[in-house]
Amino acid sequence: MRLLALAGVLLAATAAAQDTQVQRGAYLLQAGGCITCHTAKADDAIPLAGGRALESPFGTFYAPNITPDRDTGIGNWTDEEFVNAFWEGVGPGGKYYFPAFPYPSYTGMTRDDLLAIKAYLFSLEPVPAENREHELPWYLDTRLAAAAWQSLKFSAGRFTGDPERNDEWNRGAYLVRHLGHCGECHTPRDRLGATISGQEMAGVPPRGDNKGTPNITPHPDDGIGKWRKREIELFLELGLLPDGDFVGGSMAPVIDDNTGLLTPGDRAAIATYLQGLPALPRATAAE
Amino acid sequence: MRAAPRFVILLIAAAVLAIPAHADDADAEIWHKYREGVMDVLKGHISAMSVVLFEGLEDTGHLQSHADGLAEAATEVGKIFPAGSGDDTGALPAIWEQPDKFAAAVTEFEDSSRSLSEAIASGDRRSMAAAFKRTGDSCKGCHESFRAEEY
Repeated sequence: MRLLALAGVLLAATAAAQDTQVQRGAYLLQAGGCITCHTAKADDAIPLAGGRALESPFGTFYAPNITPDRDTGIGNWTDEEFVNAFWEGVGPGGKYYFPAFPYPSYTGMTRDDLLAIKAYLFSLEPVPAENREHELPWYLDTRLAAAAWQSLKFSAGRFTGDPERNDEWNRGAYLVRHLGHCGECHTPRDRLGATISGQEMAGVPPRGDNKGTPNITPHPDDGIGKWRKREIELFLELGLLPDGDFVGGSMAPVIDDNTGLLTPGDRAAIATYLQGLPALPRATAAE
Repeated sequence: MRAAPRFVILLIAAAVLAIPAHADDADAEIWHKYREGVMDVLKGHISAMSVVLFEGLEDTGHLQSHADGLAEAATEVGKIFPAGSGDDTGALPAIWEQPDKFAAAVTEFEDSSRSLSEAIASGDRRSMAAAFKRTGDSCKGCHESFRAEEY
């Protein structure tokens, strides 16, 4: 009898832990910006069922279905396969990913956070939706190209933090560099499409029809050096710029789906980290 | 009477043909200046309100003045993008290609600005913040669909 009661308590505790993990995963999924890319742009698009086109100088990539559908989504993925995709940029069956999936940033994430995201995704309704093939030039239209890119430009590794800095800075570093992957858009890239480490958050120069992205280092003229911490937090929460304007373009959905849903503490951490970056002038051209 | 030399006739014809184009350009320039003026007014009210709402400035009537001003100025937005007024200020062609969607966005801005003014009159801080967010969302949504960003 006592054993049965104990088993009941343990089962309840396990269920509660799973609920907590799912809730944490829901939050991390927002902080990771997964919704923006993995949901098509149409007003009636099904969340996370794929379809958003990511245009790049190398071609157009289509984000896949990440609902737990067994045939078209990630319903068959094991924990190890899920973690490996983020840490190593390699999917089930040894499928090398192109860095349009921002694993060069996600590689720093903790296993706990990744498994919480997986637990949340697997708590959702499976949605059958076929993935769309990427539109790439012939020389990139092979996973060997992705493997070659990885061998040249990718180094896997977890975020270890900086013991010389306080907790807020370290939390901000984790959010900006890894989970929130801000550098994927705000750090300029070299000719092979890898972010340039010495140019973190210095903005991407315009190229053709692409207008680039702003410098978000504390440079007083080229970056956000004149913004107060509170102004950065308000921007992340509401999209409000210090002059009273509201951001549009590709940052608007990031505010809606990601930074606007973070806790005030996480937004403060991001602001602290950004204000602690080296103040760099805006990058002018790909190196 | 001697016939006018051919080059004079050509010159007059060219001048007559040039007038409408030149007039259009002048109109567009005037619209751009006015449009930017209206947007600056909106930004000024929003920025001033955010200082009181989120940065601790004591409210001695500032919020209501700016909220009323914003609600009034919001009624201009639907009037400052007439067809042919050009897109030099970052106005995307979608404004004129999707008039119903643009009109709905403008209506939401007008409605949300009016609600913001009412929320401030109510004195309830939580309602004020929520109404400010709704107004900001309408600005952001419109900019996302209808404005070319600098970056």
